[in-house]
Amino acid sequence: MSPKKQKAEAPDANGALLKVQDLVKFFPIKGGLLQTTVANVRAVDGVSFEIKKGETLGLIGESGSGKSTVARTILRLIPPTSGEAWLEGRSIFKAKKKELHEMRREVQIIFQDPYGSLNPRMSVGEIVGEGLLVHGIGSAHEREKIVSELLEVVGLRGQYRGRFPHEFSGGQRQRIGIARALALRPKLIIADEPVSALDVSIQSQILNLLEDLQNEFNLTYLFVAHNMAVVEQVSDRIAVMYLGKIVELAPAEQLLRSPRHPYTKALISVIPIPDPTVKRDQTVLAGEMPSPTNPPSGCHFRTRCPIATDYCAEVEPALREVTKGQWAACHYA
Amino acid sequence: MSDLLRIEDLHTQFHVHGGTVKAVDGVNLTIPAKATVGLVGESGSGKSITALSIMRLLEKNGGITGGHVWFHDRDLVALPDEEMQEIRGNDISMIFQEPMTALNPVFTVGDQIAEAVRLHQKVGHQAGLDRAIEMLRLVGISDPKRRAGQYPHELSGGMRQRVMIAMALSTSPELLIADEPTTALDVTIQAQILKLMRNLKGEFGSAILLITHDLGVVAEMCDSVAVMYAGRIVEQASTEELFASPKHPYTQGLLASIPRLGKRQERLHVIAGSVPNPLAVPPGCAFRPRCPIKAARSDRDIPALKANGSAEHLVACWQYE
Repeated sequence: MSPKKQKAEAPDANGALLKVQDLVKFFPIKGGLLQTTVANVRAVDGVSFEIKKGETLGLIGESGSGKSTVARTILRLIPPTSGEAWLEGRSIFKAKKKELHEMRREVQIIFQDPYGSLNPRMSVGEIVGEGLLVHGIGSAHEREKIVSELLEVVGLRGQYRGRFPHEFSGGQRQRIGIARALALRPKLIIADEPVSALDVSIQSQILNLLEDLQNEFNLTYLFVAHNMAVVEQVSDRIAVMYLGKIVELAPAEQLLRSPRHPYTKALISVIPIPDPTVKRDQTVLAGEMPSPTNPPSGCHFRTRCPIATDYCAEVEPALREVTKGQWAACHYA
Repeated sequence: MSDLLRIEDLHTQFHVHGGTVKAVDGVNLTIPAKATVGLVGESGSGKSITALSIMRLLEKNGGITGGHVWFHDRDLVALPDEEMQEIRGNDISMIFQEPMTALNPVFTVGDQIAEAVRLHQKVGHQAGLDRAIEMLRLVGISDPKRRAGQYPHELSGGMRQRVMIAMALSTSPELLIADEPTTALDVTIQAQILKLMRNLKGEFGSAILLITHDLGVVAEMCDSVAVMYAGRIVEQASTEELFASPKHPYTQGLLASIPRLGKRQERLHVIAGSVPNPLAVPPGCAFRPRCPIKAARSDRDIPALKANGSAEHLVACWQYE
């Protein structure tokens, strides 16, 4: 079924925990004397996907592709311009204050920067337990116990509760961020570049931890990152974004083995491989991603595409199923 | 190949709140002429400080406390400031991770490159500017005349990195030190810059000291590689040798713990623990607390970097003694 062709109705029969349809997010650029909107940054320009219960969907893209904006819109940290998103059939964007409060228990986020995302004036116990407090869960004593357990779950000592973020290394801080995300027993965790600020030897610890937690708590992940090897390691399926759109979506192994979109192909071909004996033909794309303020007509990728034709400038390719389970938005895929 | 740069038992320390950090603690490293040598390590390993020590660009709270940096037959450590100034930017150039911090925001990029050329090669204004435009063209910037008149903020990250490379190579240095030159860039732009560096290397014949945390970049770019941990080099070998048969437990752990493209692993290998606090580095081998081997003597004495197997493969680990 094409996510594009479906009608905007709430589906939950097929086991989708999260369903996003035709998501659009424009950031207006104001200018002139009257501060009218003179242009739009088309950060997310019609994105549809779903994530099944217990699944990890990797969302990969370069800076400016819109991947983080997708994450933030789903969390309603920023309002969408149009489109819909459902959590187990309940509309996220239409949810009123009370419903939203409930939904926020169920969807949590892990941030990239383990330094900037923890309040330096709060103790680790306060940081991890804040959600419990806000949602009025347990007595002070019970919350303390839950926090200690959570810290143990992410591989820290329970007695670290009273310490402050600056006393911890980057990897430990990321564990604290993960404990905070787990506190409310969420169903969906959105991880926005959770390991890109970490050293290689710490990165693997965190990736393994995320996998363990998924099994233990039956979590569903939307894993947003720019590192393909990392995304592949954790994801069941991978969606590749370019300039506000998903250009390819496929099971992880299939995407890596036989990518169909020219952008995915080029991207994979230039990722440095830590093995000097591997010799490959690289497709080094010329130029840079165009500005999302003024994306090219037709296919957004055509200005850098090695196989673009005049047709690509005229007709925008739809995301279509090119092989079973593999979707690509290219006329020639 | 003759040696271009030879670092001998280099020590660099910083005075910080709470004590003294031995950021570089006895580094030995040789860079042959025209070679590309990788220096890999995690944050805090001392790889960038090694580079800044070579350039003598250390912050005021730090300094070289011992050792030598031989460049041809001159010891850069002992050189008077004016002579070091001559070498810096002329014979040895450096490019950084974030070009915005290295480029002056109030001058056009053309003027900045021309300034570097004029300063080091004592040519006139127009000759400097001509060279600047020529360099911009060489680093693959289209319409270089127009770009030369632009300011750094008007350029994208990838373009700024090209400008910095143009500036660094404008004096045809014998050694280019590149500190994480592509870390801040997207993968497709990184590919462009790495390709550019390979092409320019053929053209200029500069040796490159490539500092990075990315073992993929090392595999793609370097002839040989040195691995740093807690201020010391723990292993050094040709790139092929190091990736094929790493000998130090840290190198082994590092190579085993990176996710591999197209080869999803059931579970990633993990190096337990984290890098030591630079103010409280353990005695003996600094890697010992995280080491699966924990060889005898490693709790007391620091292992020296010694040839193992071949003269070119060096490793600092007591298990081989």
